[in-house]
Amino acid sequence: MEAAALSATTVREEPIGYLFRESYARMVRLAFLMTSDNALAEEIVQEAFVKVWKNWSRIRSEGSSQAYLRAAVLNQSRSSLRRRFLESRKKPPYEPVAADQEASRRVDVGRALLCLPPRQRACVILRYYEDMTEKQCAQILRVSVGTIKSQTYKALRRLETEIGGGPDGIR
Amino acid sequence: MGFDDRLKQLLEERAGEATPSPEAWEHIQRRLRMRPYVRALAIAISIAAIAGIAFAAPRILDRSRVTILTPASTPSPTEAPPDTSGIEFSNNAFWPLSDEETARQYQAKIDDGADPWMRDPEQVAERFAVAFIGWKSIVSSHDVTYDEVGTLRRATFHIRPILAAGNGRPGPQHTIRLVALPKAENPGWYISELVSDNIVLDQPLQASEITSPVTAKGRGVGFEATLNPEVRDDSGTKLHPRIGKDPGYIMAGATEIQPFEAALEYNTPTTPRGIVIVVSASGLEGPSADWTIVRVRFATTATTSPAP
Repeated sequence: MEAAALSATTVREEPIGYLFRESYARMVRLAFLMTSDNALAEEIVQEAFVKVWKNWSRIRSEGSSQAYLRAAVLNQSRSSLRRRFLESRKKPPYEPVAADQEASRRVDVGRALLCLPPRQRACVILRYYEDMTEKQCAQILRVSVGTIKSQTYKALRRLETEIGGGPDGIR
Repeated sequence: MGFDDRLKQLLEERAGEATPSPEAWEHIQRRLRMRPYVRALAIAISIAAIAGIAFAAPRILDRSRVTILTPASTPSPTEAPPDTSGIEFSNNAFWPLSDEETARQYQAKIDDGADPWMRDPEQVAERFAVAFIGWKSIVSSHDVTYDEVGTLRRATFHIRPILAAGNGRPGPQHTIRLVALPKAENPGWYISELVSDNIVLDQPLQASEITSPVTAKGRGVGFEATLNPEVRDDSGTKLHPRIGKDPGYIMAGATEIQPFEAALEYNTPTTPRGIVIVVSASGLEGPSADWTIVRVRFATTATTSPAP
């Protein structure tokens, strides 16, 4: 069994290695935007690569390893956030910056993103960081285009409130 | 700059704060290589868990199931009232206690937490096998079935003896039955009947009334075709065989089960109840591997021979 497993691993390593070189850094950034935690983001992306390896035959036939990887990263990020939320339910998810601090004029975007529910956050990141269309977002998140529209709209309104309108508000 | 553009710029800057580890590929490869072992371990744990559930579930279900049995016969209006003596606690229990009043006093202590093993029929059976019979230990089949006859609660299962003089392998199968006090919430259990597969006693029956001489009749097999009968009262006094009067054995099958029948005269009992024991002769040191024990009531007129 050991020899067979190693052999199978070797066979798949080459294309997955290519996928890794092409996508790993960007996937970590994507997961980081979702979680605001670098270590967790790496963990999520590495686990996503293991899933890709496991389902390689199916993914290769569909010819969309990038899309599968991205969906795996987003889903795993949302699961991790949900778990983290349940673990720290009593803690406020976001503590506004005190008004008398210098930082009050410069908004922490990471904190602002964490104000959003995971699905809204994923919509914003896919639309404005990954530059995807609403249809592509809907396919990855497995929801309707209408849901993407409504979730993105709500997310933007919330971010406008958190970030503010002027250039000084952006760090 | 519109809000959408500012947001894109903001996200790019924020994403740039992530620092992918240079050892990430090694970590992924390590995970890939560990996966078959993790999977094998998960399968092994799953199999062990399923086996554990399969083993424990029937036992748990059996413990929780109580079958209400109707009395064996329903008398017609013209018949005499049914004889309920067979379902009275004292007419069935003989170890560690044999009368209901004492058992009730003991039950109060059990309810206070004393002797928790008394609540488990299998543990009671094991202690009985060691203390009363003298076996080294027993192997239980764990197939305990519970039922009720009248108000009498019963637990029945199978055991095999481990003999001190044996090779450690379990001996012949026995069916053991225990009874519990009516209405006790967490009752203690008492030995009522033990029947070896190699000694089937048709007479006397469990909880029956006997007079001397009592006929011991059934089928059995024993070492050199010999079975040893005994009659004891609840004080532990051996009423049969009587020294110098009875041979102390009856003949049955040597290699296969054969019918036997013998009339057992016994001395005057000192208690109203007792037990009849038929044991196979043993070729080994220590107690025999085959025991059949039934609970009996002594008829009040059963005074045959005076005690020696």
